[in-house]
Amino acid sequence: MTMEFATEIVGEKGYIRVNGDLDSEASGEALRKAFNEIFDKGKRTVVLDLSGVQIINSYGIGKVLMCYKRLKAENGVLMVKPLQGFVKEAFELLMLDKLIQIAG
Amino acid sequence: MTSPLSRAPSASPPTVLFADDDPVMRALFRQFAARAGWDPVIVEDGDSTIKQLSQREFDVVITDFRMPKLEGLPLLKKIKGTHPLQALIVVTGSITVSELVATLKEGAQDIIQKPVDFFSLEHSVNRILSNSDQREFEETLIGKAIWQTTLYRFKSLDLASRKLQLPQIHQLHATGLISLHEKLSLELAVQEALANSLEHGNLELESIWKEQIDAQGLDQYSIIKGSRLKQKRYGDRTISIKVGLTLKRLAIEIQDQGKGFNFQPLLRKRRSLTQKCYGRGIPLIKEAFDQVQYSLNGRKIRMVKKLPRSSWR
Repeated sequence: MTMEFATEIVGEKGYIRVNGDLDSEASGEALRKAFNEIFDKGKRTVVLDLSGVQIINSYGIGKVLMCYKRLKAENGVLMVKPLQGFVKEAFELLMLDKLIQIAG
Repeated sequence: MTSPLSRAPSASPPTVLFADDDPVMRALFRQFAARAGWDPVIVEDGDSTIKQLSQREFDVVITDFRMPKLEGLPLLKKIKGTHPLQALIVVTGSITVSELVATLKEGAQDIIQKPVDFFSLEHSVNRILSNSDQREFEETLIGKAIWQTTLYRFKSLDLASRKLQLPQIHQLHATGLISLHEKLSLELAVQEALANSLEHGNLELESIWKEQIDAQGLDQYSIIKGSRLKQKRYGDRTISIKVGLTLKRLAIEIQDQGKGFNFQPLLRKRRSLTQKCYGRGIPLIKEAFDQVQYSLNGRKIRMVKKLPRSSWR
């Protein structure tokens, strides 16, 4: 599945829409770059839209957590939306839904 | 029509329709049927099989899986279409995974491999005619059938650049033995296990390096990984993958050439809330597979997925 990231800034929030699987080093690196685009523009509230993601593995989860920790270090917030299917299961299994805010 | 499967015991010999395009097989069967005291009709192709069934009843049909003029699954479907209760034994020299599953789903009572042991064939006919427990028999048949054991070997550098997808998992889903969800879960788990073997095994990368992140979000783990893959000492190490597949289980062993590690704490670890960027591969593997074991000082992982008995009906 081809990986695509779309970024957008609306007010004080940055949005990253992911389309594809977050299950490889390449996709993790692409997420890092997309996140940097938002972060370097000073946005500290970031919404990660995972509705287009079917599979997430430890690579992808590690990069999501990297984003979470970089924001937290500067009193920022990472939110993910929406959780469904396999991604939802992975988040619940690994208790990430208790760590990262789920956006409405 | 009286169901052959519910045939009451009687003194008349079993009526057997035998179909095989090999003249030697037909001659051997003729001799054997005479010795066994059967009443045989012997034909050489699928069309003749259907024609015979339209003219009289048979206690058992024994058919070669591959013949000219209507064979294999289309033949079975046609037989069961007009004679749904017909007792059926399939004889075959080779059969694929999906054909094996489909043959049983079509209602064949037994599958016998060539070269045919005629005494086993006789036993099978007697078992069918005595109406003994078909389900229990199928469990034995399926449990003993080892379809495939496949070996793969890759160098670290080769494996790092590809997303290996095992055809056996695809096969299990294609034959309806596992759901799409299970397929995705198993594929994910295999990717995790391969990544562990490659990165922590062969490349000797430490998980804690994932926490050492610079201002651009680059972590030491990725940087060192890239460097070590280019070094012959690490890049030339291999990973071996052994996949064993039966209708009862999928077993995958992955072995690296690293220095090994103490795996006990990882296997015992319970779910916990953590912000660490690592340590999630094993839980994902344990979620997908029923058994996960390490051996060889942590250099080999064995993962087993049991296939539910009902999944191939």
